[in-house]
Amino acid sequence: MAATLTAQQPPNEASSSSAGPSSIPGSSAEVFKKLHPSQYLSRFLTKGYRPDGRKIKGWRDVSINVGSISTAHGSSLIRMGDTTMVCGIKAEVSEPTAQAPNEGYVVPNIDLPALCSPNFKPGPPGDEAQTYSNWLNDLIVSSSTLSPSSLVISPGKAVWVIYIDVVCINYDGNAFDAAVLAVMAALKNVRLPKAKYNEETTQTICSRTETYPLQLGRIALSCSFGIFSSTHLLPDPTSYETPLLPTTISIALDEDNEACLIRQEGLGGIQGKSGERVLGEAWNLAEERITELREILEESSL
Amino acid sequence: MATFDRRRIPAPEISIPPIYEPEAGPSTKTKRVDRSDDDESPIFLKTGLISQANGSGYIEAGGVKIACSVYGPRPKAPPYTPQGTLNLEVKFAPFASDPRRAPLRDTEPIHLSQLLTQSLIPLIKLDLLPKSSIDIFLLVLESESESSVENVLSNGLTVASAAIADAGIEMFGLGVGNVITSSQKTDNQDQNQDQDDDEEHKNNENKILLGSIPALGKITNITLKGQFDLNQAVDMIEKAFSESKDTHTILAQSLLEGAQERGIGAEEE
Repeated sequence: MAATLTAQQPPNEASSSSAGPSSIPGSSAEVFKKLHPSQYLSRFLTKGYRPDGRKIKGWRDVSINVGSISTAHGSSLIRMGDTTMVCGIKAEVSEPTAQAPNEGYVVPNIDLPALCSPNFKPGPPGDEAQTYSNWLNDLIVSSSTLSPSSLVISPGKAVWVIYIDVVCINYDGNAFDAAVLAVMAALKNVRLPKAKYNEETTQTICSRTETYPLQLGRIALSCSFGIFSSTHLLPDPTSYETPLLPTTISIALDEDNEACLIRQEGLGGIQGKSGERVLGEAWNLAEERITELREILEESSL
Repeated sequence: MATFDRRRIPAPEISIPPIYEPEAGPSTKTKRVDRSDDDESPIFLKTGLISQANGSGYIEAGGVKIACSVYGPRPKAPPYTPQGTLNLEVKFAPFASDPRRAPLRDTEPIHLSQLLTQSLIPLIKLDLLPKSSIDIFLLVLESESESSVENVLSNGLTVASAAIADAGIEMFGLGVGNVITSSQKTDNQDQNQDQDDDEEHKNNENKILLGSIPALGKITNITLKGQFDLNQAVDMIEKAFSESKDTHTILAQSLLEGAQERGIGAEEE
């Protein structure tokens, strides 16, 4: 009987555990994981592994899928381990501001809805989502990935507004890297209709048949790290590891491996290593990883 | 908007969706050809994709893509309630439809959330869950045309009950939603489970949205839209009910597959 299929799990099991359905309540490893997360993680690290089975310096698998949302001008779905992000880009027409008649608008926003993690509440974007939205805005504007001056239809009259909306579906840590990758994949996927501004009707009319891709500048990709108990530099932290990592480092590099964004938060470094060395180590790891990511990104946009 | 939204990256106050030039030839969007009128729309349904949630589901059907996650039963803040509480929120991704749904300006989800809650309450054994709450979140990633509210609701109901079952929460039965549309123009009973494009919407005026528990032979919700003869309405409800059994089979199948993938219930086989 299909309706009673799931009733095979005892009901009190679900109420006593708040973890995913894969957890086996009652097993001592699962209890230890919940009660002593820090020790749990450190035992894995002394053996050279992370709790999810990768090597200490390992990254999670990434897959990119573009163009799956037909209501957007460009879209992408990316998975980084279990973290899943959807980015949809929609273009609308607006008037430029009087101060900048030759500039369109780029409006990036990241949403981490209550759907994607038990830690988020429904309602307006939380602190984390707001922070990431601002980082993303900085990254796109400062590294001129998409320059507002390329979005003009008619100077002073009509410009494109590019709404970049990233929505997280499954939050398993490292949302910023995943979001940046999703945005870059979606930007490459955008096809805008050819638009003409009509002076008499003051209307912008778009062609149904002719489309063109966006003029993109530097494509920056980001890599994030966390430092565990001043000893281990952990790339690509999961949602389980994140609360245990007081220091985080994010590095975003462009095609020529030039930095677009470097950010370190938290006081802790690694004992016995200068901050410079730690950052250098992270940079080298990021360079390697970003080369890989770039290949996956190229493959996806073919 | 008079209030400035500090929580998001600011957008220009007014922006309009692109206006396209009129189509040259006759409209190419006419009748769908990929399936006949009596065929139900294909459904893709998968459970357990959102690892952070206790239960989850993803559905693609009738031009709608919805992800749903269920958290709970989790402890609820006081006051004490002898029954469990069901919280449900429907949210549209800003890029989910044409025109873009700007956050804050979009009021439709509130009403949809209420309707879906009403359809789900009869399914769940809330009396078994005192002091706890079940939180259900639906995220609409795509809904092709403006008037496909019924499709969002019916598929939302199906995917939500899949996710609740995936979370291992006890239910009376699996709930499914089905939409039947009949064309007024031709007056022939044109059984479409959904519409795929706008042209079809204009011809098809009468709609029935049926929420049901096929395993128990019970109906949880009926929404009618349009002008009906009584007989026609009864006909359509019956049609919808018979289609709901097929949807139920798909739903049960995907739950079974989802459970087997994770090795639950494998020893019973």
